[in-house]
Amino acid sequence: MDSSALRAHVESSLGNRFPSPFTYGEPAAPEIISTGNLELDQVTGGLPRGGLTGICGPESTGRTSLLLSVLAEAAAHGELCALIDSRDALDPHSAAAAGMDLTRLLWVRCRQLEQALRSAELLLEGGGFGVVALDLAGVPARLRGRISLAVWFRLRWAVRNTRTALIVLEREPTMGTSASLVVRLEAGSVHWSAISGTFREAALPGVSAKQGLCRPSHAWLLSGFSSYAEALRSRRMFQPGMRARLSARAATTQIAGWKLTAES
Amino acid sequence: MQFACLHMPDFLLQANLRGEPALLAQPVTLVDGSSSCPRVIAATPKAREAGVAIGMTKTQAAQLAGIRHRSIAQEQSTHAALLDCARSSSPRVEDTAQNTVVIDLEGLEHLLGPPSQIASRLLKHAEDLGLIVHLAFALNPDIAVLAARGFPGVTMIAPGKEAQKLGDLPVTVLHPEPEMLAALDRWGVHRLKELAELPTLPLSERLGQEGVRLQKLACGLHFRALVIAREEDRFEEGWELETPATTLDELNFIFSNLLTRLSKRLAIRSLATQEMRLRLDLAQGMEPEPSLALEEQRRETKEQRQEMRDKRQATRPDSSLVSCLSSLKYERTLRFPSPINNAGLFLKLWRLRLESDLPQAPVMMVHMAAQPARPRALQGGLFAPLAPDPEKLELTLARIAAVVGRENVGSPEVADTHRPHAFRMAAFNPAGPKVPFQAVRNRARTCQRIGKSQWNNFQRPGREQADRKLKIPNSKSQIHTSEILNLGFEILDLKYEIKNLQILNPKSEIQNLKSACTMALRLFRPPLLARVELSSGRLLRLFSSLVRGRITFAAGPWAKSGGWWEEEKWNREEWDVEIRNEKASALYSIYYDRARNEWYVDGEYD
Repeated sequence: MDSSALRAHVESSLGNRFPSPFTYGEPAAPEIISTGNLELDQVTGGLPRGGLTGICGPESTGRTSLLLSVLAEAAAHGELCALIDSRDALDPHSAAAAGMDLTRLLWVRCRQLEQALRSAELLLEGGGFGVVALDLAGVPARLRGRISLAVWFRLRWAVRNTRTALIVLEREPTMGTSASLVVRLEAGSVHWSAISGTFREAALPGVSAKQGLCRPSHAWLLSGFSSYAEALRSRRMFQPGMRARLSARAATTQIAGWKLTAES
Repeated sequence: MQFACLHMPDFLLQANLRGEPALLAQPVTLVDGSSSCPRVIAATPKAREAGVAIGMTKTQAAQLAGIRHRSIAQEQSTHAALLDCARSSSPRVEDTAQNTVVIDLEGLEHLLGPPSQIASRLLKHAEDLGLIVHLAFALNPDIAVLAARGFPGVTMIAPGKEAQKLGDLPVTVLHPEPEMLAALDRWGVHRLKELAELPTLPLSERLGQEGVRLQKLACGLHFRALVIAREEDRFEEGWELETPATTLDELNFIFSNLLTRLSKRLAIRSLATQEMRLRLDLAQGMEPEPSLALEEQRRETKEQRQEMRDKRQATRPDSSLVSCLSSLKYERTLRFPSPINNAGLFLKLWRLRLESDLPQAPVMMVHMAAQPARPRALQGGLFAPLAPDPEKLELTLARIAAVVGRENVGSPEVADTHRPHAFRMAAFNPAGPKVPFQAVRNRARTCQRIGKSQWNNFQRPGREQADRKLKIPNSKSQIHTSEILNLGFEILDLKYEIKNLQILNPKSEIQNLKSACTMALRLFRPPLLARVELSSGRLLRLFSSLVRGRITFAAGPWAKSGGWWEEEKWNREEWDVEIRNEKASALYSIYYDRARNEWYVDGEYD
């Protein structure tokens, strides 16, 4: 029996159950949620529901700020969000400052990596959350290396065909082909702003020099930082070389109960 | 047919063997262990055939049939179930006796149909609750009671046929006083029709007014008003164990039974529950080691468990002794975010709860109570956001809590204090399908502003949509999705157009509006102890277990102190520093603890 006859035989045998057994079904375009940052949405096409999204990068590149922005955006639309915090690192004050409705955030505080992965599986199995975030950013490299690809594959299948967006925060991308989108963040610049007022220069202890100004260290405020984001991998729209600029601003700084504003 | 009567024959046996109905067909006797000399108070037909008689001592009966101890808790819960069964059809119910209730059916024909349909409905509910009942319909509540006591199954007594129908019943169905019953027996009066034929005056002279009342009952002429029982929503079920339960598997069967009963009772009353309470009476001092430990349970073989059970059975103390011993209580509560009624879910949740929080002694009695609530009435909306099913969510949360601990699952709440990073964990109980009004209003205003400023630059079809003025409600309270439907349509339209605008003009104002997010701090819990090198008051280098490097820029110190009146006071100087090492630079929040005279890394800006 030649191949065409064999194919016809199989098709006729399975015709009742599968209309076209040799044709791959085209996956439907995934539903997208916004990152809360329009430029990043342009570069990545948004974060896909029903898929894994990795946000990776070194320290102080805005990973957590971006994640909280995504969660706040989803919560503002009335969706429920979950954050599985593998290192118990979330600062609820930061989340509230990012505009997050904390009553719509389920926070799972873990102390071990296994707890975090198990919790993620249980949450995805339960379903119903708009965004589930797995924060592995603080996990040491030796532990991160223990996560096998099978785990990511399992999580990918758990989130598949659901309306949940699973976001994984980590230092280096480890999800391989299981990820629908991987965004890498790179450090940009740090913005220090001088506080308005006159200060005695140089004679004071703790003097910091920046941008040609010589002021005491307590005359400076950390007003934010910027970073750059690019999509390393995207199943929807991959635009190599395109980068989005992200900036994270400090909400307010309080000194002895007084709110100070920084010079622009 | 204005009245129906539900009567449970052999109430004591039914109530005490309700969890194991198969025992009703076995030779089993019920013993009241409250006295010093326990005696038989009820016996199954097979036990009677075997020679067991009411009043025998426990020792005598034990040689002829199996022994079960009387449980008042189970009798009370069975009586409550009987009342629930009656109230499933009518709110006007008389609590006539522990095993008998009378239902006023007046006006229910239009709602529930003819008596035959009401009968099948009542019988179905009774079967669901594990009750074997006799059911009788009559125009008179007392006639209905007598018929239910005397005839098995369903009995319908037509008007005018009462005396004829009841005539063959024994006089014992009237529940006369023992002296009166003896007198009737001496006179040769054994059936109701014989009592009805007696002359009234001589009967009154010999037995008094009570005798006349009984005769009227026998004739079907006595009529009284129904005493409506006060409706108490007490959904409680109890189970006294014959032998102390030492494994979760043993408790699992009991929990399943109790929860199924509670769930069915709630269901036939069209109720659900939002809170369940569990009370376990523990046998204090019976086992020195906590024997409910799962690890031990897994290690034990079946033979070992059987051996232990036999040993306990042999050394089982009397109920009175047990009641003294079981002074230790184990009380737990489960609260649900919304009313649910699902026995399987309840069982899983209690199982997960017990696995993570084991009782420390064998269990002598299980008592379960449900706080009734109206069931959740919710219709999914077209624009309602994605939300988990409350029942599934509760189970998921319980499973996660079993993995990470109950205190580590919930919603964070920012505490109202100046203490750095103070928060508390609250139960995850998200609001219903409501959209926060503030968010809707903010988004609407943003859309409106952007639409007005950018719209004139572009020629697009549907432009007039954006020019439409959005009507924003003034109320600051939350509003339902349905109430903002019209507003939502306009916002969606504008969002679509704004997205297109942004693609056409990527450097527009829209980008600037949303390109910045709020800087977040990742905390180290607990803060990392650090060593900081100083030179002339300047911070030079920082060394800690995770963070180390040269401090390239520092802002601070910002002095913070408070809580001096408490044990956990804080007094510190905070710095924001940029630390550079051989790999990269990063931003950290560090502080100098004045009380401890030490440096700590508080968190990382990310």
